[in-house]
Amino acid sequence: MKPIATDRCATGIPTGRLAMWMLLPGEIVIFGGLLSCYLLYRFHNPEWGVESQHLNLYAGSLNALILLTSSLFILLAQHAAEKEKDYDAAFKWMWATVICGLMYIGVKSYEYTHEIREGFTITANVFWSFYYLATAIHALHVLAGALAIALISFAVKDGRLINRIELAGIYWHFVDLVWIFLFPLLYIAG
Amino acid sequence: MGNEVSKAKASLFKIYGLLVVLLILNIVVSKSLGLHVLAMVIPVVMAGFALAYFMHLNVEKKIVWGVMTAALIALCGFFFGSGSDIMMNSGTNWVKCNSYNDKNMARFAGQTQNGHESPYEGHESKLGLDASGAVCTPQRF
Repeated sequence: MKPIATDRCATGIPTGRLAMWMLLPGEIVIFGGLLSCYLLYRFHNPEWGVESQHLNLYAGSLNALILLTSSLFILLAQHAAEKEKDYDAAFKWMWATVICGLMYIGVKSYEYTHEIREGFTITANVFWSFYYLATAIHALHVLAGALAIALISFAVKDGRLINRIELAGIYWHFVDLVWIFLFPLLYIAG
Repeated sequence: MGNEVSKAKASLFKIYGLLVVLLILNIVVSKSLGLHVLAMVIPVVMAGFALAYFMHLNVEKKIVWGVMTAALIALCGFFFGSGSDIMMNSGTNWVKCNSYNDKNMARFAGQTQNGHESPYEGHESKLGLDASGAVCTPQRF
């Protein structure tokens, strides 16, 4: 009798991938709930447009580009491991993704430092509460994803657990997707 | 086989390039032209491409589509369920005390804002004015 977790799958989808797709709806509700709540408050408070002018659009745009590029890198890692069987290249692409994640955290830290020094703290008003809450939760997800990819990379380098690149990739693309919505809502449409 | 592998790799770069172009378009169009509605439409398009080609949702089984749809339906439920509470300042038997701020105090005083009447018109008895005439714990937003 084969174990379910690693071999059998009633749905026809490998259990790891199905589990990852089951995780994402929870994340959708978390971020979607936060962003839709922000949207409702934003309609009610048009003066928040003035507050969002204090956000660094260049930093936000750079972060969007970093995350998009990191999504490409994890896809290249998956391609290298699964199609080309080049595990060293996959290892390098995975670490390029991790470095992009750390760059994102660095840019975000710079933004936070600058904004807090200007006096725009989490208690300044409701706009800034939403901003810090949403971006900090997102940054924590980026950090967790980068850590997971870093841990998986060592097994991939030995040619083991190759399927986990795709699993980590799905999570990483979702994190990128969240910023695709967060960035225009806070920085542009604000 | 080798040709298929390179084609697959090339398509990844094409989708990435498209997403970068859409990102730049989003920033330029929204900030320069002030088309903020477009600032939300373009991300939906970007998300569609990322879901389909990066997360391979276009070749995924229907059960995954069902799970994601269920999440979106739940989200819509939360959005519309709480929307009336956030958007309205008063109802048949209630007034939202926490919505008071400077602009609402002016409204309450009988002044109109943008041609609209005070949302608290007719609800003064519910406001629980204290001896000084102050309303229930005004909150600053």
